Amino acid sequence: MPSETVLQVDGLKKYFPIRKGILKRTVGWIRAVDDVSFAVTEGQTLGLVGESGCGKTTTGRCIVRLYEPTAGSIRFRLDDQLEDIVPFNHAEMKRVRQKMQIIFQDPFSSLDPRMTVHDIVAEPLRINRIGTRAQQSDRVAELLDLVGLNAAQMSRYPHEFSGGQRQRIGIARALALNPEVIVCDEPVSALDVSVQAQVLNLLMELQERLKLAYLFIAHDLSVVEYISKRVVVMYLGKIVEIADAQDLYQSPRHPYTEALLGAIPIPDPLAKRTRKPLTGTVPSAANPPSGCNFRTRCSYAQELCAREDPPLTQVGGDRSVACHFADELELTGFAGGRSSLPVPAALPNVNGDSAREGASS
Amino acid sequence: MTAASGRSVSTTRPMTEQRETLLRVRDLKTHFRTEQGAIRAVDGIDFDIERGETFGIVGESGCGKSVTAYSIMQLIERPKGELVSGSIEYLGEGGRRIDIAALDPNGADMRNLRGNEIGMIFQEPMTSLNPIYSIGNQIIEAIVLHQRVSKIEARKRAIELLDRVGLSDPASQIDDYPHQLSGGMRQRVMIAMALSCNPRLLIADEPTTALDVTVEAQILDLMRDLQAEFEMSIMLITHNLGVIAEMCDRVMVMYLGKVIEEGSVTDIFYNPRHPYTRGLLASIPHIGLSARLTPIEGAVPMMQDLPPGCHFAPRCPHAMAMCEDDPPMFYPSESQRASCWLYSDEATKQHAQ
Ligand SMILES: Nc1ncnc2c1ncn2[C@@H]1O[C@H](COP(=O)(O)OP(=O)(O)OP(=O)(O)O)[C@@H](O)[C@H]1O
Ligand SMILES: Nc1ncnc2c1ncn2[C@@H]1O[C@H](COP(=O)(O)OP(=O)(O)OP(=O)(O)O)[C@@H](O)[C@H]1O
Ligand code: SF4
Ligand SMILES: [Mg+2]
Ligand SMILES: [Mg+2]
Repeated sequence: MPSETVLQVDGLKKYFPIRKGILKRTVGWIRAVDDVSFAVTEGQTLGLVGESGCGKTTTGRCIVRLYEPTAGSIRFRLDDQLEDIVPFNHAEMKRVRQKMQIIFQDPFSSLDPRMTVHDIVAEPLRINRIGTRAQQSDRVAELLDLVGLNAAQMSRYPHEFSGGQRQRIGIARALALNPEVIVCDEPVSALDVSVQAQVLNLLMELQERLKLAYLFIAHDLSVVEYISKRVVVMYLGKIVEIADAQDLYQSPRHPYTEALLGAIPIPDPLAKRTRKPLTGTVPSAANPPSGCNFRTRCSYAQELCAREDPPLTQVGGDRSVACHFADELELTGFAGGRSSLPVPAALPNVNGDSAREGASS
Repeated sequence: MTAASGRSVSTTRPMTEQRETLLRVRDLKTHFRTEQGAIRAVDGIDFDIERGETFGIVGESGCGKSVTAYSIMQLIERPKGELVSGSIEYLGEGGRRIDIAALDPNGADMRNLRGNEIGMIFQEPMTSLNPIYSIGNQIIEAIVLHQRVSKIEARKRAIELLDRVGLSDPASQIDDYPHQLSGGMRQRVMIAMALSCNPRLLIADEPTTALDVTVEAQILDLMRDLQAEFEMSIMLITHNLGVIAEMCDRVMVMYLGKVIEEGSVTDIFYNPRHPYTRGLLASIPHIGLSARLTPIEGAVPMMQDLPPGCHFAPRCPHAMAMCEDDPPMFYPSESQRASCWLYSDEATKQHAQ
């Protein structure tokens, strides 16, 4: 069965004006997202990585129309057809919002502190006038159960919950209308590792059960590799590489991807590292370099790179790279890859009155 | 396969003949009084930091890592917080042993230690850099205060330091204000400030947590180089197990104000003993491994509401009746200790049967 596209983004741009003086005249533009194209497949996860300020959040917010795109089309599947939602009015967007939701990084500030958990999760149902009050409450209970929260806690307020629980509340609300696509903007970045793992597993289980597609935005490359089928790497508002996760991590084709992979701290003290550290910092998005965006930090840059902007080009199979020398360079993949974890010494097997042996899984 | 044996594994750094303990912390307790009740943020911890080593402290949010660091620097917010008991023995220049815990936090001795012997990189660089002074002024002030050199000489040293930590144009950047610098640059300035006194102990509290991976890699490389150059010990606090694996010789794992395990970095990653350490390692994604993660169940309880006995018991898949009592420290191998009843004689005997 061919995989089906639920979301197709083409030539997306978002420029923010830089205003100066008392008249607030526009003196320049921040090119937060500058000609970005990709597709999200039904039931799959597309990871979106890159350093702070490269335009990940702006991309996500344009897609759910929290920001008005400067240019480009965002085609979303409605009634089995991809329709450009950029020109949609408020009423038309309501239809899209039922099928496309967003969850945010900060579980602390993204929930209204004065609303009960019940009202937070029921809000999308209320807005869209779905079901009676009793039916809405049943649905809330079902959703809370789905994300592993106790339905008896419905009448509590967000501050009574831990960070991981609050993120589950956000996920339950996003699921209320049976969406097909969820844009997840750094959903686990603020969480402790043990809770982060719980939420990642929850997202993967929900994907399997509900055939959800995720656009998963994160800066943690290990997390993105874990959850994504395909990965987009952004740098300074542009896509530098897009490929299946396994290919991207094993054999990157863009020098920036190589640098990112080389910088990941490996949780293995015996891992062999091959690091070519990047120097300098990301240039300003208001004044990007001529030619290739990355050339000021690229160790492979040549004269051509300053003159011409390399287009994102298909380089065989299902991957695309924006580098003039993508076909010639021999780049290094992630060096700390493992095929198995070390097995620690067995714990003493205490059978006495140990009641909860093997409770985890 | 890399399964390590049950016995101790050597640390990555060959150990010198006689190890010299730079910092010896014993039974340290730092508590806070809050409206919700007493918080035993650090509750009876012991550890040693040797000269020249990088000692890691890892644990989830709120387990007492920063409070441990603040206690050593005597920067605990008083009277709300208090060093309730314990000693912090520091081996000063010339072999002098000083109990930091007994010093007046505002006295000359403590100021001298903070300025000349122990440097600290704080978790939030913006709160520790003053926004209204140029970065140069702040470093110069620290140098003049502690090293009794002229302003001109101090400025020269400040520029050298900024150059050393990788600022591209230190002679002009020295006059920049903190907000003019990127997060990574600010963190470098923080390191330059911490190093301005040639510290013998550098306490780095989440020095790279707010930074991008490529910048994090630069900062970690920088810290490693500077450690060799300045021959200092580093106490590195982080919740990132990757950073721990890259940087540390020895690692201490904390949970709810207590040390639950300590070992060489290879012990911790190849043969973790405590169920919590094992749970942490099973919670992080490893690139290339496709198996599902097995997270620790539940969440860290509130400090005001600690479970009795082993604090980890409510989340522990191996909890037994004896876990209702506080577990003491056990020594399953020469280089490793774990505060878990599984390593008690009783438990081991039952295992042998
Ligand atoms: N509302 C806004 N007004 C003006 N500039 C903005 C706005 N939002 C974002 N920007 C700028 O656009 C660029 C991209 O920002 P964005 O938040 O999309 O990055 P990001 O990749 O999500 O970064 P992070 O990893 O830090 O979340 C940055 O230069 C940012 O300063
Ligand atoms: N000034 C203070 N007043 C009251 N409680 C405090 C104070 N400082 C810290 N605590 C409490 O002490 C406990 C330990 O805090 P600490 O800052 O050491 O955690 P941490 O391990 O550094 O966590 P993180 O990874 O989030 O930085 C927490 O429960 C915290 O709320
Ligand atoms: S003491 Fe008991 S509850 Fe605590 S970690 Fe060990 S086995 Fe688990
Ligand atoms: Mg963002
Ligand atoms: Mg802290």
